[in-house]
Amino acid sequence: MDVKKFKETALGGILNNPVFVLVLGMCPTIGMSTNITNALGLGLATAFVLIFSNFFISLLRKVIPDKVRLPSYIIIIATFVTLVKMFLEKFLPSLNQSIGRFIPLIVVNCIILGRAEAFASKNSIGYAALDGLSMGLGFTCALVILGGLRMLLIEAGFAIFGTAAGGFITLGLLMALFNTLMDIYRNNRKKKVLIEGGVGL
Amino acid sequence: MTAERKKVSLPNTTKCILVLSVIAVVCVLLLSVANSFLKVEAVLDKATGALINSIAPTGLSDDEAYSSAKVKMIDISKESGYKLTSIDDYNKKFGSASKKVRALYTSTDKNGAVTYVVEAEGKGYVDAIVMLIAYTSDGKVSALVTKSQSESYWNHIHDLNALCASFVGSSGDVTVGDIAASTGVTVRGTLGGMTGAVSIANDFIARLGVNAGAEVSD
Repeated sequence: MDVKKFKETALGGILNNPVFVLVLGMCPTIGMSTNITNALGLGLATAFVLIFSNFFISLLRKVIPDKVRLPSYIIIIATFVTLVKMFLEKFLPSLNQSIGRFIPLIVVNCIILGRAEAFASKNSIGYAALDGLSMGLGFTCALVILGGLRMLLIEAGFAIFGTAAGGFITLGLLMALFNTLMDIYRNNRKKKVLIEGGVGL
Repeated sequence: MTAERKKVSLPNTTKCILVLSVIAVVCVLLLSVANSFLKVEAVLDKATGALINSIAPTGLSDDEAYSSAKVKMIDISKESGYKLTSIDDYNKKFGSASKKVRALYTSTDKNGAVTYVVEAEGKGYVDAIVMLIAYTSDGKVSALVTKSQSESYWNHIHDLNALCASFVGSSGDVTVGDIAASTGVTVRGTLGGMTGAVSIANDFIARLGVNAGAEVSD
């Protein structure tokens, strides 16, 4: 097993966070981050679809002709989104009432199709599933952090953060903070590698 | 050269169609298997019991009405005295993808009078609108309430009580035009879901053959 690739894939959800770094899936991010419960629910639903769609797309990558790869991916993704919707309707009707409108939109969420095209269709099923898990959890964490922060600001009396405009402002500030912290982390690692004479990962 | 290209492209095209078809068939089979386990069935929970108690009052509190079975769900396939054999059979014959009956309930008040309440759904603009509709003894709508909806423009309806009141006294088919004209509500997709649910519930109660609201001796 390639340890370096495993680490990069596993940490992809943090280092290449789909919300803060890749800026994907903005529609559900702004729409569902006013409430931690909704953010967590939608994040986990997206993670489920991401993991299984990546797995099956990777499994079928050598079978699916290039000309019909996008329709094939959409069919596979839509199947898992439908399963999620059916599960929510059956077992979590109150959550379905809150986020049900956004579940079908997962099919056209850029994260899902983007990772299918960029990673799952070019890597083995193990790495594809791991990438799905990492990106899914990264998306969920981003949504929960954003949701929690907006909830606190709304309860503190800043009603604007309950609107889309406030959502964008909060998201922008969090993105700036996240990318700054990532830059500091990367710079520190570079310095460490230079100090140790180039010995590292 | 052209003939060669045609020879090369035909097997490729066939492969594309075949692979896409197989993926679609497998996904459909997976979903149909999942549907048998994840099918939503109407159940009488406390929240539904409270809604029924609000439109067909038992005279008791919501908790008391629910726990003392004054509000209960009726399985017409297991009980006699009804002209319909089951709700599923009714939906197969008279329902459609856009409207169907989900359940039948009764609410019994302190005097023993029974009010029938039909749970029905109609396809709104976004998804199904589920309504609970109570009936008078002569099969007309006495009250109704929305159990669940996920409409984009629900909050744009200025007076929801007035909209619900516009259905009271109706029987048979109710059209979007009738309700829009009397209430001024313009969200036609949502109105279509509500009128679909009420229309099929009206038809169901008429075919059920019960004397809704009749006194029942204990």
